[in-house]
Amino acid sequence: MAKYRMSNGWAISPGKDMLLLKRMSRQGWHVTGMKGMLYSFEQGGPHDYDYALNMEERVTPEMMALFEASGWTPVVAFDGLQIFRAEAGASPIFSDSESEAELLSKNRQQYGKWSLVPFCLAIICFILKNQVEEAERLFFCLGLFMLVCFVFTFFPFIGLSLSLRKKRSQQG
Amino acid sequence: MTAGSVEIGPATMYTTLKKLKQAGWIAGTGEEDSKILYQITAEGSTLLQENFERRIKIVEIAKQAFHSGGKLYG
Repeated sequence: MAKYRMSNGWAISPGKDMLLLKRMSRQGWHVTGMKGMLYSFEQGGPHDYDYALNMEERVTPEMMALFEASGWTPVVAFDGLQIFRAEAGASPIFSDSESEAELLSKNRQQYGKWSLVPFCLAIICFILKNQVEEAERLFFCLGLFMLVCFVFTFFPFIGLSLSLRKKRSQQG
Repeated sequence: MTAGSVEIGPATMYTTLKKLKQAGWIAGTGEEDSKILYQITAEGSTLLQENFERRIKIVEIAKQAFHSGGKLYG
């Protein structure tokens, strides 16, 4: 039997999501994967785990070996998003805020670039909607679709910007 | 190597290794159990030596300042 929970937005509030996973594990539900914004859980014994989010661009065997050697097991691993689990109290995956800020900055830039494309295409579609009468409905639908794509890339950009600002203020 | 006094998280280690590789200061020499073995390059070794000497100098200056009660100049 599986359970599902909606993410709070891993880019906007990664800490909240990791606390959610920890709470679920304490109740005996352990995360096994992620589909879109939904975490899937399977039942097991209650256990106190810590969870950590990483946003490395590419998952490599070397990276996985490093994490496993440090006691962190991957539970979700895609290019761009990985979630690891370790026994409660394990040393954090980032031992300095500088490298964490660097990774946040890199991902933020990437999402910023990705959000520009659908944004520009949405504008073009809405302009063309008014110019090409025969394809008005088509361009309107395309424009709406591009706006949705823009939202799904711009929100992570905002979330990562806020996380980065918080990290940099902690660095002092 | 540090007897546990310095801990480096896996994410910090991985990003640092990538940067050192990109800068040409370390190079992969082989693989063992999915772990890549690295060795410092000649350029990396030179930079490390320079950095080490600079830090020793800083510590010496700090020692002087400490023993002179903070009055290093005048």
